[in-house]
Amino acid sequence: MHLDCDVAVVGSGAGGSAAADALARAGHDVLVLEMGERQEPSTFTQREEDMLPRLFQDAGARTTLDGAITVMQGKGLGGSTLHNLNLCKRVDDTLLDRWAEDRGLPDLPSRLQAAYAKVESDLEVVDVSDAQLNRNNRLFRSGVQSLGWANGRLKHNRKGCIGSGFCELGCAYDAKMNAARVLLPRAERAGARLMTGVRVERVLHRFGRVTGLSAVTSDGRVRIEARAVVLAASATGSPALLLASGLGDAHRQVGAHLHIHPGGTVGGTFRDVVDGWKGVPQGWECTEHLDPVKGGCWLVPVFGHPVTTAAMLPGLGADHTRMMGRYRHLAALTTMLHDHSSGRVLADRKGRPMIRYRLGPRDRAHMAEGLVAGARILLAAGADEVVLPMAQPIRVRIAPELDDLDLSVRRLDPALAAVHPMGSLRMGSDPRSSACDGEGRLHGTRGLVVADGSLMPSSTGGPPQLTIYALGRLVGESLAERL
Amino acid sequence: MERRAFLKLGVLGTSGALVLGAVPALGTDEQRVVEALAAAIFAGVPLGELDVVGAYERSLAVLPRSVRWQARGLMRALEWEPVLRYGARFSRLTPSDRQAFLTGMATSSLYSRRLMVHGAKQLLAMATYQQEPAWKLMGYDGPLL
Repeated sequence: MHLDCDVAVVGSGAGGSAAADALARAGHDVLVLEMGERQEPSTFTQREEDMLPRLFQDAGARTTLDGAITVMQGKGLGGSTLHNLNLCKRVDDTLLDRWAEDRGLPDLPSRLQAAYAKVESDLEVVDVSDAQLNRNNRLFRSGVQSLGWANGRLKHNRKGCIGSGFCELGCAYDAKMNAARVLLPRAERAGARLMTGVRVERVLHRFGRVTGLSAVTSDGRVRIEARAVVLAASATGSPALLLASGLGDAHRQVGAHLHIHPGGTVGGTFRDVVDGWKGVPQGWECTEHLDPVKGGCWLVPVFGHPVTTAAMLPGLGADHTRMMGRYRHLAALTTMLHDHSSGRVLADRKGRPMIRYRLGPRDRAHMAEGLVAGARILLAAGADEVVLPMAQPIRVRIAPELDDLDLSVRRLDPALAAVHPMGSLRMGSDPRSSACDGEGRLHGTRGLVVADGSLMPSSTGGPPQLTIYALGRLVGESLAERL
Repeated sequence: MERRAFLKLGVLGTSGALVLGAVPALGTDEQRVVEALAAAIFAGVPLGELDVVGAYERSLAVLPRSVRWQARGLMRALEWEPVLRYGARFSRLTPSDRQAFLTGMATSSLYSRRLMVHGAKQLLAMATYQQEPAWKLMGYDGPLL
């Protein structure tokens, strides 16, 4: 099969959808290519064994190369916006200024703020209301506030939410104001074509100029000719595709500087029922241990359905089962690293991503501090017992027991999961230290821009979804003007 | 160097890339290992009411082929690992020896050993806790739909 278009967009998540929407509305002939399938919310079953394979790369089985950290990444038309928890938070101004200074992008903060405003309007971003805070979140808020720690309400992009709590398995009620509900339909109305089940294997190029893509579908091979390509296949998929295509690696910047926000989970049991899986999963945050520039941990409530909870809770045997038996009384939070450790995305022979990543000593120390802080929050909220998720679980009943605790974090001790890969094609004016420029153009290559979380100049230290939408919009609008 | 690079199992598996053929169905011995590991890792769950092996096979079927091979290797490795220390394969150990063996592996100073137990737990969590009798134990009321 042979297809032509002005712009081929690889990936339909937050960045790809925002770029495609901007380009299509500017009058360009846009073709969006998504490796996953179109997912109808009415077919979401709210069962983990069905939805993890449908909505996640490698059926939820993706990990770092050494197997130590699970890396959850989405697929399907709408990408990770199908399964994410809809938190919308701008990058802190201090960090934006640091990005501008360090990466030689003086106008990035002002352009990003303008894009944030447009995206927030499109996605109808609002505060998580008091009524939407479930007991897990209210306990978290109570604990943080009684400790006097920096905390606040989060914003989200939901409309028509009934509080089912199955957000991470896809919203069967179509209440997520995400790429699939808002931006892709708008792009389609403006003329964009959406193709699913398309696996892009190579970016085609001649003499430094990108000419199109080579892809496969269940019907065979597809060749796409395009005036420009927008790469939005995620912070793992995009660099892997470039590496497989032999593009842009003169300074070994493609795939470098990967951050993933590894998170550990702390659980506590309460006398009264919590039913943490019901309602909006995340509505409150603690920023006491987070420095926007220096790093640290972002603390936020978290909860899982049975399979995820069983995998997440530490320990083995009867002790583990006893905690599972307290599921209705369990509250939990995640301590997510604003990681300064960085990894690298590599590509296998077929262009699929491989993630090399290890925590450095500074981040291991931050993780230990974050886990203890998480335990303090749950105890301050009234937990009978808190469990730190070490390979040999540590059970704590009163806060003073934490005072002399000297946690040593090593691989799989505790088990960590990451849901925010970013930075692997970072923006910057200098090709020696960045893969892309401030417009998302791959240094040294014509006809290709990047429009996903790969562009982040560093870890964001908070949920990156809104910034990825905003970067997608910036890149899309900028490309639309140049075409 | 990782002693068993094939044991990179995350929530359900790994991103390893092996070039291998079709993955055959579990044999009787492998089914016994899966049941023995589930009984030890999730001791106290009414496994008699669950079809752990069937759910395990269904869960594996949707994973990338390389991960399915790694899972096979993992189960075999865990079955034979105790022989030197306990004089018997894992599936033939007493329940208390199984617990002691797994706890020792999970807390080992060797990363590869911790990884083996972590991988098995992730795989078997999916096989065990997707089933309603396990939900009853938790008080989980299931999907709304």
